[in-house]
Amino acid sequence: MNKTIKILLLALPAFAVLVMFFLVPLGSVLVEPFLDKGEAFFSLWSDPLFLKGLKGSTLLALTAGALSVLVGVPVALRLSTMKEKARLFAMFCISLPLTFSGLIVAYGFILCFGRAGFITLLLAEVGVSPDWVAGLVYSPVGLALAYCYYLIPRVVLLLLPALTNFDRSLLVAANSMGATRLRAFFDVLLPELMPTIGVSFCLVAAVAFGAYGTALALVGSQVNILPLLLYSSISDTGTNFSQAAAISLVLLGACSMIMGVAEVIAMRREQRLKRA
Amino acid sequence: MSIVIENCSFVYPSSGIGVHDVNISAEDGELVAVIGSSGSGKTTMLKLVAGFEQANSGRILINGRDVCGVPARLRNVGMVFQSYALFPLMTCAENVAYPLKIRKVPPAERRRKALDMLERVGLAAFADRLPSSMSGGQQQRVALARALGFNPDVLLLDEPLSALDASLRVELRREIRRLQKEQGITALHVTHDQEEALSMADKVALMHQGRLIQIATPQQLYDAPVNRRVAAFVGHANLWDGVVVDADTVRVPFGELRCTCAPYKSGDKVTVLVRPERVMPDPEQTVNVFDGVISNDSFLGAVRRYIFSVGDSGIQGETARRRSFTRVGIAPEAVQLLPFEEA
Repeated sequence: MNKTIKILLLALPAFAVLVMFFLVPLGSVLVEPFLDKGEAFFSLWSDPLFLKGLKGSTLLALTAGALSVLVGVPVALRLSTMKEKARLFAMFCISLPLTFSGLIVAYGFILCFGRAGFITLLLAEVGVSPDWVAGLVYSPVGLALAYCYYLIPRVVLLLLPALTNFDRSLLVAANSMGATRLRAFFDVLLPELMPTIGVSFCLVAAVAFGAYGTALALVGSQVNILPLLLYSSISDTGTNFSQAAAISLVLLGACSMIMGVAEVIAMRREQRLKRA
Repeated sequence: MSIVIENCSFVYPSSGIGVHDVNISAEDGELVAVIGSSGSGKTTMLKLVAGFEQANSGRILINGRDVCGVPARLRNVGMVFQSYALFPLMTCAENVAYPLKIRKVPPAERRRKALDMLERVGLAAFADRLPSSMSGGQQQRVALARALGFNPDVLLLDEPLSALDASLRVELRREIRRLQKEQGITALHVTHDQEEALSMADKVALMHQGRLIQIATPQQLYDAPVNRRVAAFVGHANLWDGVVVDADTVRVPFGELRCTCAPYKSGDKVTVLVRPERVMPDPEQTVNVFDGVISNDSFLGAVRRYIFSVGDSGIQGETARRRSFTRVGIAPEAVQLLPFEEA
């Protein structure tokens, strides 16, 4: 048996798994909505529930993405100036939420901010209404906050290499030329960081767009977003595989589009440096 | 504009190292080079002048104004960094114009000034290029244009040539010196390259372990070092432990040398300095002549550097002569006595 055949045989199990559990389901998702002259796919765009879900998911992705970047950038900045050992420890702590299931995050939020949550009751002591806190947590805003819990570490992990590799003598140089620290940050560091911030935003927005477990556990069907709509299409109460496949296709397309934007951002920076 | 560093001390809180009681002055239009081995405090000294660190005690005067406590951004100091520190997403012209932008110079005027500075460093054609597309030498020229383009009070150079190859270093030395003289700006130049310091500077300050050892013109530093450390650091040197025999004779490990021993007295221990180029092969003189053999011979092109063994001792010499010899001489005036210090 020659070497090439041996290698192919060794790769066969992995290939079989790839075909069975990725290519076939993906293929069926791509084909199913367009059966019956694409009835399932095209009818989605006149379904108010779907359109509301699409709007809700988009808003949720943008809000969660923006909040995560807003919090993640200063955290990454602080970490990048820490000594290596302290930074590694902080990174370990910050990365912990990534190991938790979305359900755990949701239940954690309920335990803290639910109607009888620990923090809700503490806030009630200082006059904040438990109904208001719970209302906030079980709303799209609350969902966005819960998503941030595991999206912020992603932003930090993406930004940190860019920040630790950043030549800090540039800030010193700007300072020596008369720039304040804030001005040096905006003129020198931020332009360098913008592509990475853009990519991080796209990545976490794509995750938030398609996330499902936390949303289901935290808000159930109270918030209309595409992953929950998809869930209801294949749940016991009413199975509609064509609609589910069509929604999946929209989710897939939207997430791919967001990641495409991230690729364009990264490519444009590379091209600018190459053209120079 | 002048720079005066008076009794300046600074200690890094984390390591306890720093600079101690340093006094350096650079008169108007002078270029003073600060040299020393790694950890000697030369870069710390520059940071204190730039304002990146604040002195614990002493004064730093720029054109008579005490700048201690003044933040770096308000000191109006032009600085050239070892790593060039050019902003990678700004073109060369934008880099040079950046300090002017901070000073709220109108866009058209700062573009004109930036182009003018780039012209002066021979890089006007590169105005709209990004630094990453340029060579190290070109980038350092842009950095120099940027440091001088906003009419700073003084120019600080932090090992600006150490990242460049040897031939480019020589070329840029001349360039920096030319621009510094043209602009008539006072400059403090930190370098570990003694050749660079000696060839460029009006005065050279040698630092060791955070202290200033000697500040003098390059010639004085080479010809009249104050101690063994300066003699060893600047150029090549024969340094022997010696004992003064009488007013005209000092005993060294391989014999006796005739020289002027004042102000040392008979019996004093001294360090004897003879520069290698002052060791003469096959001398016509009759004093300070030694027989031996060449034990180590390095051909360096214009000269050869050799070790001439006399018994167990070696005399380091330099000569343009190609043929071999078995006798060397040292003129009495080439022998200098320095305070005794263990090697």
